[in-house]
Formats: sequence, structure tokens, C-alpha cells
Amino acid sequence: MMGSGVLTRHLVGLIGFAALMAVVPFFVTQRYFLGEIVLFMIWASVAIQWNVLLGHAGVFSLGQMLFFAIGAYSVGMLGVFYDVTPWLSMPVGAVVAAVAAFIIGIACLRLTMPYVALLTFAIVFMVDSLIRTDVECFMSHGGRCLPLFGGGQGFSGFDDLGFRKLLKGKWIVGNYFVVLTVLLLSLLASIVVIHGRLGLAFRALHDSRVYAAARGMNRTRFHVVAFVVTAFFTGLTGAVYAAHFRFAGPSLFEFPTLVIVMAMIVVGGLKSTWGPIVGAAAMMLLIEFAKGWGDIQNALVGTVLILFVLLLPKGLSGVISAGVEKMVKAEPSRTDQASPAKQ
Amino acid sequence: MDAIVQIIVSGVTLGAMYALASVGLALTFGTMGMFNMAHGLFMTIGAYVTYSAAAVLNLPLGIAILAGLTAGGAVGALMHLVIVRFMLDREDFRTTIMVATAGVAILLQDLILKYYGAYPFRQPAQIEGTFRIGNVAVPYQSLAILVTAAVLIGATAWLLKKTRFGLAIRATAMNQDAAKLMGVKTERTYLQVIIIAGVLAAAAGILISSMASLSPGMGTNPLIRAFVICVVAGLGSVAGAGMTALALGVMEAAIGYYFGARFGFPILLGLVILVLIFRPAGLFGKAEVIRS
Amino acid sequence: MTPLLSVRGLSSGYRHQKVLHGLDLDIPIGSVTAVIGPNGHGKSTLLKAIAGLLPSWEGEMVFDGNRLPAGAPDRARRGVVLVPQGDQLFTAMTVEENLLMGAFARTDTNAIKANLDEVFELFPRLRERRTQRTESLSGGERRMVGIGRGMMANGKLTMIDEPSLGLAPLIVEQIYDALGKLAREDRSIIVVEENPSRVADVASAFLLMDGGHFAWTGNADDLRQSGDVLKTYLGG
Repeated sequence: MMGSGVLTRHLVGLIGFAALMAVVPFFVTQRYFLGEIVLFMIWASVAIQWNVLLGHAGVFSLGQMLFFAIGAYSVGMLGVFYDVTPWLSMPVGAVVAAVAAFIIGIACLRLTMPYVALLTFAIVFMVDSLIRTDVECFMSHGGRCLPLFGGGQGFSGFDDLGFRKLLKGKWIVGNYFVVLTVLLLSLLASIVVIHGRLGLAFRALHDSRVYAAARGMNRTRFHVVAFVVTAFFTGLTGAVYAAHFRFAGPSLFEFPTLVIVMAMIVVGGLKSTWGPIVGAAAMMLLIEFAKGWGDIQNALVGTVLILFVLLLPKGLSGVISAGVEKMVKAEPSRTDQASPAKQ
Repeated sequence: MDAIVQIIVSGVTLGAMYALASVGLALTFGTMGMFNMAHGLFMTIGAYVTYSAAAVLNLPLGIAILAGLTAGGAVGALMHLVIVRFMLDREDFRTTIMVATAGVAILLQDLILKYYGAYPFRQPAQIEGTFRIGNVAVPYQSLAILVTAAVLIGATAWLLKKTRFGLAIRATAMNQDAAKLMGVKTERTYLQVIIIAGVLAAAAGILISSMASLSPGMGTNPLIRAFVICVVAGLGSVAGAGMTALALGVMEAAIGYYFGARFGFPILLGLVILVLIFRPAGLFGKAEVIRS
Repeated sequence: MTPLLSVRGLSSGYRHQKVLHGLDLDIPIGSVTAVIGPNGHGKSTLLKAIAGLLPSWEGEMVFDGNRLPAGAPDRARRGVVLVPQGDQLFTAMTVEENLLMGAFARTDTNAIKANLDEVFELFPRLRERRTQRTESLSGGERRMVGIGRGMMANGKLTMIDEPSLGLAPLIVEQIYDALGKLAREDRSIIVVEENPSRVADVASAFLLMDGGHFAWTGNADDLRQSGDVLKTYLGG
């Protein structure tokens, strides 16, 4: 009962967040800033899903960018080779990502935490190097020979979401709302998972593996379910990324990208619900400001990540909730001072 | 026949480098449960410092290599003193230390990129020339790599098994609290382990760069190999890691020879995952302790 | 006579949970002290705090005329020895390696050899099994290794946490026989047991622990006379 109350509170929060994000394009009109906010929403969604795995399910996956890339490549490949509109290929990408997660999950998730991390990382690396070294011609496109997975170049210039024709100069607003929808779906899914029955199972497994096993709970099965669900939404986010930027390539696999998303989760607060959104916003702002200080993005991200793990392991959301708690506690203590008899 | 010699020569060379790359990783994990994502950067730093000392400062090769090894150990020590030390008592150490070392990795890689640029320098620490086994030309460098790796891994094994210092490491790996009760200063043991891992990684980096070339991302490839080797051998098994590395090196060379180099690692990884489905604890059992 | 160990106002615990609430304690030289009482009331915590595995939150400890340094390794080197609950052996090492680990902080090679013989005389079974890995031993044999490893440190104070826990009565008897032989003029012993009847013959002083305090203290005679007091704590 208490759980459903928490769930309701987070869902109300979700509606508030949705409303807030929906009015932003009416105040922010510069394309550059809208583009940055679109990027923020994309990374926030990836961070949200990863946080479900890392912070709540206890699955240390380093393979999230693979599922993101699967979504993106689905849109890119279907768009370039068969002129399929992203509206169709986006859900396809999400499903393919989920299927891939199912296969990888069954193979890897029976292992303990560090092994899961090693294997998922190795799998991503393998896919990355296979794609980059592929030179065999699959189809000729625009007078250029294109391998099946696009080789080192990747795919670009395929059909977008159609808003350029529809809204002309304001096309990015259309994209904005599509990306926002994906973010909200992703957030909704994470809230339902974290505060629903699945989250309860994760907590039971975390608190007492023996008890959970005695109750007939199969750790691997829950982990695979979490892996597949989060891969679906990560894939969907990757698909909308490709649709927005009209690009899908092996640069998505680069290590710094992974670490930036990791930093978003840690800065926001691992194990929280809203932390990844806070963290994504904070990191995007930081990177934006850092552009003025020269090309130091990666060094900065690394430093921030280290500092937060060391000094603020609960992240910004931990700081915020501690602050809120202090304020709540400070109220009665002030009345205490008024009546000195009480101590 | 020549094909087999060719496969064994390049496989053993690969395996020796991978072994050196993975032993330090296995050692840190076995002793303190720390999975070091920055291990690959220790290799890179060792390689670049040796390059700088030899090619830029024109120091003798022996001193340049020594400088590279020292740099690897120093970076490890620094990481321990500034970061790891403060996290050891955390409940979720195993998870958070991976995150923190990932941060170290990206920071160091960026610093190297800024300082040296992306230009693929040639590592001066190498021996020219070849000799023949049958019709196969074997570079002296391959032999040097094999000998160096064997000496360093042998020394590490000796250190662990035969010295009081190694006894402290093994005791700490098996039971941290009990080791403390015996008077082992475990915090210092951790520092020493990270330094050894740093030195071994730097050695691996110097050897690897002598076969390919220097680049800021050069640590990634061997690090992934080390990951897979540790998964197969069981994390923490130092001797297992060495043996697995040799076996995987030869297998990768064989697959590469018959199916093309780009499939060497993917097929290997596929095989490893297949093995893990049936033996989730790794090939060498399940205990996460150092069995040297 | 100044006590070997003198504890004043010791508080300690785990993370955010305080378990020991300001304890005072004196351990005379050459004594055997038993800490008794129900489980979960701080007996093991007390030993860990003295050994330095847990930090002291408050209070101070003077050992052999000096303030105890922080941290288990340095205290072990001063001669504060803990045989922890559940043995905590180095499972992948042999019996002999485990015993020699007990003497890790020592450098007097000849004395170490003599100590090893002493342990083997006390527990002849261990001599037979000296090259076996401890993971293959029975529960009783493991306990012997644990206690033997503690003896190898040759400390001035040896603390033993529940030596009878989980063992068959016959083996418990053997272990306590050995403990009786351990007590010497120059060596103090603290034994933790839930049930005082086991330690009644060995110990000279008894401390009953309840809720992180000492609820009752006395010698062997007091113990016999205060049966009723103890029953309320130990549930009969």
C-alpha cells in the first residue's frame, strides 16, 4: 500500500515534468538551445535506463551503448537501404535491441557482477571492431559502396521524421516533442519498474539473496527481464537519436560516450529515481560551459566523475533530499527554541 | 607445417603480451576486489614514457624502459593514494571503484591525447632482425617479448609464493580481517599490489607498442583481451590468467590465420561465452583468491 | 599491580549502530577472564574493538603501559591477539602456513619453531595434517588451527571468541583442555562464551554483558552464588 503511494507520487512528478518540458519550446526559440535540450533528453533517457540496471537491479552492464546503437543502426540501415521512414523503423530498433539483450542476458547474466561488466564491455568492443573493419560491399548508395553495417563511416543522410517538410524552419520543435515523448516513456517505464513489483523483487534480492532464493525467486530471471526492458527503451532512444541527427555510426561505441552517461548517473545519484535527469542536465550544462575553456571535455568528465564518487557518492539528488530533510527538521526545532522548557 | 609454426610463433607472442596485460588486473582483483578500468591506461603511460625518454630525451634504452616501468607503478600508487584508499571501506566498493577508475581512464587518456596528440609514434624500444624456423621468419622482437613476459610473470609468481611480502598479499587476498589480526598492514599491501600491477601493465604497454605503435587508445585492445582472459581464468587467478593468455593467444592466431584477422577476437569471444554458459565460474574454478 | 589492559569509557559499533556504551575493563597480567551473556549484546564487538578491527568511538585503552595505537595490524604487533569467531582461516593455505601466518609479525625464527612444536603438542591432530589445505579440515580441526594460529603470535593478551561455537561436546572438551594449558603467568586470556558453565573451571573473573554494558561482574565463587541473577539474563 505504501509502495503504491510512492508510485503515485512519482507519477504525479512525471506529469509535472512533462508539463514543464512541454512549454519549454514556447519560451526557448533558438534552434541551438533547443538542439542542446533535445540532446539532454536523449542522454537523460539512456541514463535513466542504465540507472535502473546499475542502481536498482544490481546488473553492472557496460553494454548500454550497444543497445542504443542497435536502435540507431536499425533506423539508419532501414532508412538508407530500403527508404523506410523512422516512424516505422524506430519501434523495430527498440524490439531488435530487446531481442539482442535477451540473447546476451541469457548468456551472461548468470555470472557475478564483475564478470557481467567484463563480458558486456568485451561484446561492445567486438561489435565495434567488426563494424569498423568491414569493407565488403553490401549496396551501392549515392555512388558510394556501403558495407552492411556502414563500416567506419556509418549511415547518414537518410529520411528524417518529416518535420522539415511539415514545419519548415521550426522543424526542430517537431523533433523536440518526439524526443520528449520517448524520454517520458522511458521515465514512466523506469518509475514503474523501480517502484513496482519488479523493484520490490530487486530489493528483496539485494537485501537477502538467501531469503529471496527460499521464496523461489530466480535472480537471473529478474535480471534478464530488467536487462531486456531497459534495452528496449535504450534502443528506442538510440532510434530517435538517429532519426533526429540522421546519423548512426560506430562513434556511438566510443568509451568517452559511455563514461559521460555514467557520470550523469553518478552526478545525479545512483539508486535514485530522478537522479539521472538531474545528472544529465548538470553534465550537459557543465560540458556547455567547458566549451569556452577549450577542448577539455573528457578530462573534465573524468575529474567530475572521480570527485563525485569520492566526495558525494549519493550525487546531487542525495544532496537535494538531505537538504529537504534538513529544512523539514529545522521547522520544529525553531518552535523548540520558542519554548525553552522543551529539550 | 609452416602454417603451424607461423601460428604458434605469432600466437605465443600475442599470448605473452596478453598474459602480462592480464596478470596485474587479476592480482588487483584477487587481492582487493578492485576491478581497475584504468589498467589499460597504465599500459599506455608506460609505453609513452619509455618513448619520451628514449626518442625525445635520448636516454639509453635500458633507462628509458626503467622510466616507463616506474611511471606505470607511480601512476598506480598515485591512484591508490588519491582515490582508492578512501573507498576501501565502502559497502559497494566493487561497483563504485569501477566507476571511479573509469573516470581515471578517461581523464588519463585525454591528458595523453592533449600532450602527445594522436600521431602514432614508433616505439624505439625494439630489436631489429629475424631468424628462421623452417621457412618461417621469426622477429627477434617476438623472442624478446616472450622472454620479458616469462621473466616478469615468473618473478611475480616467485614473489607471491616464496617471499614474506607475497605471503602478506596472499593472506590479505584470502581474508582481509584475519590478515590484519596477524599484523599485516593491509592498506600498505594494497598500495604495493597496485604498484606491481602498474609496473606489469607498463611492461605490457612497452611490448605491445613495440609490435604496433603508440596511440592514446592503444591500451583498449589489450585491456579487452585481459578482460576476457580474466573471465575465462576466473578473476583473481594469477597463474590461470598466464596460462589462459597463452592458450587464447594461440587460438586467436589460428582463427586469424584461417578466417582472417578481424574474426580472431570475435570467434574467440563467442567461444568464451559458450563455455561460460556451461561453466559460469570460469574454467579454473570459482574461488576469487590468488592461486599462484 | 597495574593491569595488562585497562579500558576506560569504550564505545564502539558498526557504521551508524552503536553497540558498546562506555565500557570500563581491567585485565590483570596472567589472568583468564570470561565475557559471558546472550548473543547480540556486544561480546564479539568488544573483542573486535580491543583488537582494533573496529575503531573506538570514545574512550581509551592502555596496554602494557602504553596507549594502544589505532588499527588491528599495529595492535597485533604489540601483542594483542584475537582468535576471531568462525576461525577466519586462510583457506587456500596449508595448516602449517596458517600457523606460521600467526607469527607473521615476529622475527625470532628459533622461538617461532619452538612455538610451532608447542602447538603441535597441544593439538597432535594438526601435526598429521600440517601439509593439508585448511579448507579440507573438519570443524574441530579448523578451530584448532584458529587457536593454534593465535598461539603462534605469542601475544601478551589472547582473546578467543566463542571457542565452543558449532562444535560437538567431545571436541569442545578437547578445546577447553587446551585452553586450560594456554593460561600462563605471562599471558592473559579473554574468552567469550554465551554459556558460563563451559568457562567456569577455566576463568577467574567473569563479566556478564547485556545491551552493550557490563550487567554483572564477579569471580568464580560469585558466579556460583549468583545463579539466579544469571538465569534472568541467560534464560535458564
